[in-house]
Amino acid sequence: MRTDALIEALAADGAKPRRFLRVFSVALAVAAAAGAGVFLMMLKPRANFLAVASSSMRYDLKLLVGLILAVTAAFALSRIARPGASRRGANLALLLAPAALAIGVLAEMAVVPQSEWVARLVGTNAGFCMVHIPLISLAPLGVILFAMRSGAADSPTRAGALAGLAAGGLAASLYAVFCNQDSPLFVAVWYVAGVLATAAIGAAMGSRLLRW
Amino acid sequence: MRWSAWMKAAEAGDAAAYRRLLAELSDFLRAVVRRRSGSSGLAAADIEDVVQETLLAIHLKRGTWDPGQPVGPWVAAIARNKMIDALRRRGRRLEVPVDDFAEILPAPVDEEQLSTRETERLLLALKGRQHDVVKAITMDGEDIRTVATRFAMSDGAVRVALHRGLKALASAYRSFRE
Repeated sequence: MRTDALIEALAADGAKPRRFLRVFSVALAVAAAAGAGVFLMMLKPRANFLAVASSSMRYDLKLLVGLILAVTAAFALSRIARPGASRRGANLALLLAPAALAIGVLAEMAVVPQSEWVARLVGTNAGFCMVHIPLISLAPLGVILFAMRSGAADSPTRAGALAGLAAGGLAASLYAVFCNQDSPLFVAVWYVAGVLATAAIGAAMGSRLLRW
Repeated sequence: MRWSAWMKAAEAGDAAAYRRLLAELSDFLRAVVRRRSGSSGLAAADIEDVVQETLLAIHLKRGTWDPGQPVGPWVAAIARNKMIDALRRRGRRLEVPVDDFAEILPAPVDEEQLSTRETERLLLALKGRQHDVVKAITMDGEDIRTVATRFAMSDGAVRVALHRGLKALASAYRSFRE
């Protein structure tokens, strides 16, 4: 095939391109709604979920870490999906959620006597948490991956993992409203395990779905 | 600057601006790919394959270009990606390096006239009307009108088949890679 003939064919294809950032922002809104919908169908917010927000810093941190992760991972996705876009700021921002959680863990260890650490870490319902975060995240993950298909990420696996982190962060924040385990020690183990499982699912799906 | 303006005009439906843009980009890409291929020793036809796959990707992924950004780096990043794929593909095919024959091969003709083998082979992966339409336009040089008349289709149906055919061509590149 001659290149000038290919150019003629491309120019003849007048299909309107859809701007990736537009597709992606709509997808994020849909993903958040889907996650919230699934959460409310499966679980319900704990009795005092509003009141506790003003009285427990642990609860706030738990919610916040998930949200920060979701936002920063989505921001990174918006960059890696566009060839040539700068990534440095987005990569740095990805450190925010782990850093916030690490500070929470250190603070917890400073104020809680060592004898209670293990009990707080193990908590109750750890398995339930680890299963439900991935479950809540599946629908948002699907929506985000679908939108990413109109992007052009150079590494499909990495993009899939980031999509998993975004969906997992969102799911973790939603699950946090149900869960009555507020210790950062609990969050750092079981929530993180659930989110990482989601990231692994995202990476596996991304490596197939996001090639272009 | 000029490329950005053409890109915007193309998005607004100006096919002539788009054709001009793609023609200039293909020259730019040829230079980029040749410079980058350096020691990997891509032959002229291989370079043209990468140029074509990149043009196709630019077309299908033009929604990822941000109007606030210059076109050059965006195009170069896509070219880099496609070049890595092409080298990987070449590795798997275990071809004898064409360099070895450089002395006995005739000097390559003007590259724009050069017909690439890969894209033609990939066209075979397309089926039915998509194959007919893409082949008629890219190989036989026909326009939408002529194709519509030849296959007794509406202009709109030809456009749809062309768009889907180009997407199928890009995914044929992808599966060829595996």
